[in-house]
Amino acid sequence: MSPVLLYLSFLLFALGVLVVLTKRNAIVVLLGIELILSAAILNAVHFNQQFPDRMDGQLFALFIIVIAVCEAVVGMSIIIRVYRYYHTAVPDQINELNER
Amino acid sequence: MEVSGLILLLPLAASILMVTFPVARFQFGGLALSVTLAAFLLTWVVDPGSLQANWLQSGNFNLPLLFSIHDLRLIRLIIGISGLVQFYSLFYLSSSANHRSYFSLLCFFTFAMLGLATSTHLLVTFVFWELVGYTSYRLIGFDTTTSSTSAALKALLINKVGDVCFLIGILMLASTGLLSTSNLAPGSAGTLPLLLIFVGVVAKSAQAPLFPWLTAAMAGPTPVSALLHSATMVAAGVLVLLRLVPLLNDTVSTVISFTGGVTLLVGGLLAIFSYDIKRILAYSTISQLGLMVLAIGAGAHASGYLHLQTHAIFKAGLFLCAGVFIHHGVISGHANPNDIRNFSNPNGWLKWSWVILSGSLVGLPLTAGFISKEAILHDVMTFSASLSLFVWVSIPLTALYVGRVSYFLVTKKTESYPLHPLLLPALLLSLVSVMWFVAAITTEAPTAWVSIVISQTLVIAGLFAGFRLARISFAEKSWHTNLGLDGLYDKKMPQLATAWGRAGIAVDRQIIDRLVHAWAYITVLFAHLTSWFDRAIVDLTLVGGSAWVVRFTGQLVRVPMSGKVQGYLLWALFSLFLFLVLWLLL
Repeated sequence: MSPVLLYLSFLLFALGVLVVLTKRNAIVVLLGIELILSAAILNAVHFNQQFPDRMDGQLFALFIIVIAVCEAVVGMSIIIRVYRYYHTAVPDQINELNER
Repeated sequence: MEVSGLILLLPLAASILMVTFPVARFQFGGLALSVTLAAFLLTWVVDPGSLQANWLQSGNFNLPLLFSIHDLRLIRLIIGISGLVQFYSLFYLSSSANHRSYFSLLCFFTFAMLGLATSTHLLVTFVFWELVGYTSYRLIGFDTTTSSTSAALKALLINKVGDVCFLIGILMLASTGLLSTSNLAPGSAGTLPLLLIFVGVVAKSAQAPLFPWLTAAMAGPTPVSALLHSATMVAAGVLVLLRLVPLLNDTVSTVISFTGGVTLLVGGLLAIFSYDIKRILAYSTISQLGLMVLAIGAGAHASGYLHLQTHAIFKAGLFLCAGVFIHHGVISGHANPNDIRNFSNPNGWLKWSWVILSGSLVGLPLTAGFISKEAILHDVMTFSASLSLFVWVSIPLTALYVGRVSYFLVTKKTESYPLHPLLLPALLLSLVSVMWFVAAITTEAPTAWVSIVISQTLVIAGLFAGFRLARISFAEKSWHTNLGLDGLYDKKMPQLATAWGRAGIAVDRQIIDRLVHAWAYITVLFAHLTSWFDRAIVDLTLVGGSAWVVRFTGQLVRVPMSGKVQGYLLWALFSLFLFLVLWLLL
């Protein structure tokens, strides 16, 4: 068990969070989420190696990939709807949750 | 209501009827006369008794209308003289005068005077007292000339001084519960309320020094003078005084008798110096009222009351005689018909009734005046020898002015005009005067022969001196009219009132206004203080402070609520991290 994959996964998660929190474009934010998801997949696959007789982690990884695809589609469409509605896809400018 | 109440209500009803319904000219007098006659006849029918009705009732306070119809002789006198005066007025008034209001007022006066004479509750008495005063005011100013209007106003104002004192006195008596005059306990009231009531009596009964209104009141028609200002109305004060006799103490009695005595002499003295018949008779009335008041003050109230009645008869008669002289003078076209030097005698009957009535005034035998005057003289001498001095002096004084006037009236050549209806009331009154003497002398023969002889001697001497005096003519000096008191009341009083008003203005400007300004200054100062407190403490510190705290907290709380999705995410992650650390540590 080398921790390299774990480091990689941590790196991916950290990068994903950084992208999600900092990027000004919603599409890139979506990309960040994909990065976080990939970190999760990596973790799932990696921890599954401790139990060679079981396939749960691998299978879960597949499901996550599928879900990530779906999520990307839904996310993209949401972004498009948001862009059409607000004429922008910059999260900073969409601050309707703020009262002001 | 008993039948006797009708005596009171009939004249009132007639008066209201005349004011309310316009009828033809002569019927006013006819209506008044028939109603008065009916009331007069009623007095012979009814039994003496009391009338009682509730006027006001509120809680414990009860104001009853109490009337005592006991003294039928006084009631008959009032109604009888009213009736004679109404009859006289029918022929005396010019046809252009307002008969409607005149006879209405005469009837109303009869009602008010009867109410005053019979009511036994002082507050009710006061109501009638004021009604009588009002009627007098209206009748004095009946001619609506400038002089009679100002005379009416003068009578009203001088009487008002007395009325106010009278009312205050009544209210002070009311606090001791002595308003009902039918059961007065002796000596239970203080001195002050009685003195105040006596001021009312002084004004109403024209005592010194409040008598000038009575001579001014002669501006009214002569029958009115006969009725109100000699026979009945001015007797109101004496009547009220008689009611209060049980309450009188020594101080009040002394004040009363000295006021009466001074009035008696002043009235008699002033009567000597006048040429105006009505003015002479007015002074004579003042003098005789003073005699009554003196008698009451000295304790001879029974004889004072008797003199009130006999005086009513002969003074009304004298005025009605004078009215005939004046009427005759007016017809003959004299410039000054009131002046006794201008008089001419229209009829022999008039001369005789004048002789009888003026004999009654001085107290000669065969007349009613003899009875009452000798009674007063005798009683006052019994009670107080010093006070009888007033009476002794007044006897020749009265005879003096009566003799002087009678010289002008009796020595004139008698023109033989036919018997005029105007003469009848005076003849009737002189007849009553003689009958009174006969009735009284047969029931009780006089005993005080010494005082009678002396007083009769004085009367005869006075009369002869009066005849002599009449030939001396003298110019009128200012003090001959009302002792110059007119100047006091007409000039000094207004000046005093003006000065009082000025002083009031000065006090108002100097003290009240300054106080008001100071108070305003203090108020503004206080308002500034309050305003500062409001702004600095309440607004800035309390309200502003709490607003600042809230805003600060709000801003603090608002920081995470930026509305930015990524911000929320950051906070979510931060919290997650925090929980993770906590979970690991615990």
